Amino acid sequence: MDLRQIWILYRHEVRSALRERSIVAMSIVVPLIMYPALLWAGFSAMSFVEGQAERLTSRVAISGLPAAHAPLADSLRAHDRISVIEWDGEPEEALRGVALGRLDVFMGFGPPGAGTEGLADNIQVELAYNEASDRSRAARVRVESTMRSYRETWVDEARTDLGIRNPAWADFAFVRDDVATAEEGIRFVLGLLVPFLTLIMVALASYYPAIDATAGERERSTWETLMTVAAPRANVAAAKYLYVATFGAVGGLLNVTALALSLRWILTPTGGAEELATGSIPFGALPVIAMGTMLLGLLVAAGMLVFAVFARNFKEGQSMITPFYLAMIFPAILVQSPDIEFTASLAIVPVVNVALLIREAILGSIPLLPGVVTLVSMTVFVGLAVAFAQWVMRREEVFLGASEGGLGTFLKRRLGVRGREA
Amino acid sequence: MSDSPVRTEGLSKVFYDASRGEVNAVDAVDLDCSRGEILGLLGANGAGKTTTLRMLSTILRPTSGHAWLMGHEVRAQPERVRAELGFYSASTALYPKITPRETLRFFAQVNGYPPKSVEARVEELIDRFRIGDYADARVEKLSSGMKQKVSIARTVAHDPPVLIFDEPTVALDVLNAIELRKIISDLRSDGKAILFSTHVMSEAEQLCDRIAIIHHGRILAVETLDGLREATGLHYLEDIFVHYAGVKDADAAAEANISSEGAGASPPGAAPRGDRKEREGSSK
Amino acid sequence: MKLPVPVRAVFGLELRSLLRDPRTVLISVVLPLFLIPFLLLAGNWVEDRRADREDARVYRVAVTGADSAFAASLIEGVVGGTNGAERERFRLVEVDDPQRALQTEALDIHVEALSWMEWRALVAEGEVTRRDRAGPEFDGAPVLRLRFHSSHTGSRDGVEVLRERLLELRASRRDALLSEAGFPVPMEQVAIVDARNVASQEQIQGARLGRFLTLVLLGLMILGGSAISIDTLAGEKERGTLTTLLTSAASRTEIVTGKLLAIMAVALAIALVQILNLWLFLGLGLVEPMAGFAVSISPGLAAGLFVLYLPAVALTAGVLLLSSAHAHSYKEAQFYLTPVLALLLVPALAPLLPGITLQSAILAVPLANLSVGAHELLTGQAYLPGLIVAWLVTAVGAAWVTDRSIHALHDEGLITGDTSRAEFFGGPELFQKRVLRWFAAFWAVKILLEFNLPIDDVRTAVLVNVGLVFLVFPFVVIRHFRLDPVEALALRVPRPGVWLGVLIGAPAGLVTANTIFRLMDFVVPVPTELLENLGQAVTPEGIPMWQLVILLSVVPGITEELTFRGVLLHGLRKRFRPVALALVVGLIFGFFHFQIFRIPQSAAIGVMLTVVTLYSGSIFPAIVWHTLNNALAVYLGSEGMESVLESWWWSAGAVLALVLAFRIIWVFRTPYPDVGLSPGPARAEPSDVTARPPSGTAR
Repeated sequence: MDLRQIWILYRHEVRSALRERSIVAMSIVVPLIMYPALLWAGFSAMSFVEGQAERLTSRVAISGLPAAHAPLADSLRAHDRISVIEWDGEPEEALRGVALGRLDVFMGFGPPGAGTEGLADNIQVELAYNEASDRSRAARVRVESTMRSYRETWVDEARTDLGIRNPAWADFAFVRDDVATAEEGIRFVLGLLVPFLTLIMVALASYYPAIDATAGERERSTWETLMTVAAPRANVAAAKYLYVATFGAVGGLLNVTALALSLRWILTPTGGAEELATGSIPFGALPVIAMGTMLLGLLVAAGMLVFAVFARNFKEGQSMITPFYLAMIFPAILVQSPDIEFTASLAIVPVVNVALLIREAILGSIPLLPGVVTLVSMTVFVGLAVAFAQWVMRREEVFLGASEGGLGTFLKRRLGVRGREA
Repeated sequence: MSDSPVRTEGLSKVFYDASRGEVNAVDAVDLDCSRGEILGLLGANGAGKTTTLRMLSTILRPTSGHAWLMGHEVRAQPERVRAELGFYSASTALYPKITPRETLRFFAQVNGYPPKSVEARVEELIDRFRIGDYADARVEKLSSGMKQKVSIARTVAHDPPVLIFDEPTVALDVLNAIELRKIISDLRSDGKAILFSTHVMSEAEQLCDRIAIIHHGRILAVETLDGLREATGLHYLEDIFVHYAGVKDADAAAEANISSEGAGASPPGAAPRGDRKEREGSSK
Repeated sequence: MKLPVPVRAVFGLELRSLLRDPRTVLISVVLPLFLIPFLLLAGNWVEDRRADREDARVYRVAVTGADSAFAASLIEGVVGGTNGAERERFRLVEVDDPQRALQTEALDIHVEALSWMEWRALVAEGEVTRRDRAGPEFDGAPVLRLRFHSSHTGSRDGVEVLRERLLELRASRRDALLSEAGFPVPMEQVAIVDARNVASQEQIQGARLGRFLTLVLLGLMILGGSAISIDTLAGEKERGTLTTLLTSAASRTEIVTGKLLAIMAVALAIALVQILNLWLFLGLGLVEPMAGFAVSISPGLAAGLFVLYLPAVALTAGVLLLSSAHAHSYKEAQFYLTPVLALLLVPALAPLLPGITLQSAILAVPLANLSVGAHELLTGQAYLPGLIVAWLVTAVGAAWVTDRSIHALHDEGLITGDTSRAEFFGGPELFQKRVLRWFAAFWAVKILLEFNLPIDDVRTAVLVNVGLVFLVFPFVVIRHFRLDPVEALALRVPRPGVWLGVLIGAPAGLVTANTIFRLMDFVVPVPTELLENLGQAVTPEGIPMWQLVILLSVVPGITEELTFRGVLLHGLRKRFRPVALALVVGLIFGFFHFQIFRIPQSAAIGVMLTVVTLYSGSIFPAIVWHTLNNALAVYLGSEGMESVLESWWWSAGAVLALVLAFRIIWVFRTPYPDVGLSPGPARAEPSDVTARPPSGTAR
């Protein structure tokens, strides 16, 4: 294999690609502009929602409250997000109001049910709400919390009268105390996000170069020009392969970086959670991420080229790669579940293992055995994929790409030949 | 004059091209073409033939000047113009997924042929252009000769009075080109007004009733072949063309000399980009 | 209503071409037929597995501390519980170093049993990050400090379960105490709340479905419509059939209508096929519905939804067609798909906003209003006038988008791929075309810079983020497009009378903008926490007043004006009429303030500053106004006098003063060139404004 020749061919591919406006736009400009814009939109919507929920006033109609319990109505009125309506009309009318969204909650007070009469003055409230309405459900939560504190005050007074004093009544207190530092918190989030994005982005970034290097050449009718140069086809194929892999890996890395950078604005004080402002991906994880991305790029490039090489034009290339692209997304979804453990056996599965390795690296610890297994497994799979891609590309009909060069014909012929031999 | 199916008056188009700069692709062109006449536009590549014809077919809007097809102005009534027009060029491809029959039906309908007579018209076209054998195969499966016939049938699907052929023979082999020329001259017998552009001299000689020589966007002469011969005293069209084009270039060179007050002969016809910009700026 | 023949012909042609392309059909119909149920299955499987693991999980708890015996007995109580085996979720373990064990996931929860005094001491030292309070009502009681690690799933879930168990335990122990003392009923039966839901089961499920229905439908429609839409214009350009079609007698409107109908039909058909497919899978029990998504929709409701969604279908198809019309090739059209997807799907998220109804500003947003409308329809709370308006608004949006596609078919550059005059010459003319693109990119770069520059010092950060960035950008633009700096930055001397208007206007403008902020609070309420954080960020402490004024008033006053009332206004001046121009420049200025609730008031000030510049023909009044405005805000903020701004009387006065200020500026006007404002009396004077030749010659 003539490395110099491959290098020349490779440089030629990369140079043409960098001068192709759409490819550059897709892999550099889009992430640079789209991520901040998307995150901005997302965050703005979140703070909008938060504000909306916080300020929404609950319309609460009450009816039949005994005079002895007037303080309850007062504490409802004291709530600055509850507006109390004294209901004089028929309860049915109020229920209809709740159903149609004109009221949020209707509280119909009455005597307590059987078995609870033992307590003098006890009351029971029928709280009608609308499960289908956000506003009504929020109102129910507010009203119930007011009722709870009313009950607590009542019981508190009663137990004081009965002589139950504090240390015994208080019994015990408990507080939850998170030992995870802010940095670990943000790493946890990044550990879920970054592997997922790396997979998607590598696939996305290889997608167009893979079609461009094969179907695109056919469409521009430069394919035959290239096939007739005095270089072994294996070298041409290798150069194309490296070109796709480079774009996949670099594009993936660029995307992830751009995203990580844009993410920070949400984590600043004016944006959102103050205590998360200092966290980021640990430096030690960077080489692991870079290496993982590279391995992914190599594997994905080989896989995509095998499909794309059968396409005669851009459109076809797209149809052929899409299933492969979707297949990449499944492991990405799988990794989203935080309780999947990175075991040595899971480290054999390609793609998934890289994602998990990156996650562990971001969380700050790289388990040795699965790490090594990942490396070995990926190398083997890349080797297999490249060998297969080479084998496919050496077939004449694939290289000629005439009308019989489709995937179906290719498979038929291969299988047919074998059938006859057997 | 005014009842000519095709007429243009001072038709001009300015382009801005990344490599050539500001180009007066078509410069004050006056033409007319009557019924049963083939008017040939003869010129080198980039002379402005295609641009002129594209303006007539309303794909491009003239920068200035006017053109009328059957009395309809191209800028004011583009849709009426297109209803009277069949346009054929190397860039008017056929839809690959439909059959010739469907193609003809589609274009007859879209061009406003009376709905009740569409089917009869399609049959008539299939007969006339002898495409019955493959009228129900998909266009993508046809050979280039077959496609060409379908394409011409498509052009005349709605029986338009004006036909425009923009370098129709450019990608055809000899036999197909001959057949195409025969079809075009048949169409002339039907009384169509036909504009035909080419850079092949022999084609213009054989086919055209009158020939317009176009060079650097300008019409240098519009005459019958005999008229041209008489005017120049030359016999072969090629010589006549070189005569006109050469004279034009010499004129341009002289003009350049005068304007730069003898500062030396600049290459003919290729005014540097900066000059053109200057001109644009001051004319504004 | 019968469609014109050409429209029908184009429609038929499109459908036929699509159906004869087996690959496209495969990708857009057959693949999703299997993919979507498979996705559901996979989702269910992951969820089931997660739930199983969760249920089977045993949380390891270690107990330490002074009062560990009591704590351990409590935990035993939690573990033992009343119904034995089912509660067996916690296991007490012995660990040497609980803190380390928490880090390495060898332990899930570390319970530290503290006495009340120890706890108070820890709190006083600031040693704890508290999520719960142990207030004075627990005075004297032991405190269990439940230490956990939020990055570890087991730990995070476990502490939640433990917390609930402890609450239950405490309640039952208290009930026992009460009962012993002779209280007649358990606590739960004091002031009984009997919650009753009045919504029908359909409505509840409808509410859940309604949140996602529009999103899913739009997603399916885009999935189905993208192939045909890309093929229909971009593909035609590539195949060369577009010229054939455009030289036929069909009008552009007819062509676009035919194609639009074809996309609509295909998108709708594919969406319906997918839904039918899903319904079949669910109906046959092959796939379990996700929790709470078993919905029965009556035929009447389905018909209502169909009618409601029609303009949404048209708008979706229109946007797809438009993106295709703007692409020169199949490939380019493909690239537009991602942004188009985001653009269409984001409004469909509107029903996820809690408590949103059609009786709000959302009514004016196409697509978003229909998705909220569909949600209301499904929850049985439909508001008919709102639905009608929403329908019309989206329909108008669809018509507008379609009109843009028709417009694109008239664009020679898009059809033939020729370079336009502006692109060829570059310079000022091109700037007018590209100005919005440049500002969009600048906006994104600004966000990235602002939050990633590693500058600790507040002063330097402000100088870079406000001073340098807004200074460099106009400079780069002027260089790149070879603009005349005097023209582009409106460096002209205004008439002296204008300054009086500015002096009155700046404070009045500040109060008015604040009024707008308060009014907006009714529409876009601001979370209080965010507001507090922002207050700290805007007025950093420990910096002398004069430095604050320079950093936050003078610097942005100059640089931001150069950017917005300078190059931005200059670039847009011929694109909009004066009123729209002021609004657009103001709004873009607002968007550069990033926080959504700051945008309206910033935009209001931006509009005022633009109006000042338009009337005075000069940037200097805007610079002074902007500086005064910020300085005043900084001063009021540092003196704690913001409350001045909170009075509605001040607001009313400010509006009057503002009117007066603009009136004065109007009297002394020398209008900004090229925007079509009627010249004032200044025309008589030998002003250099009107005498200037058009900018085209300046290079």
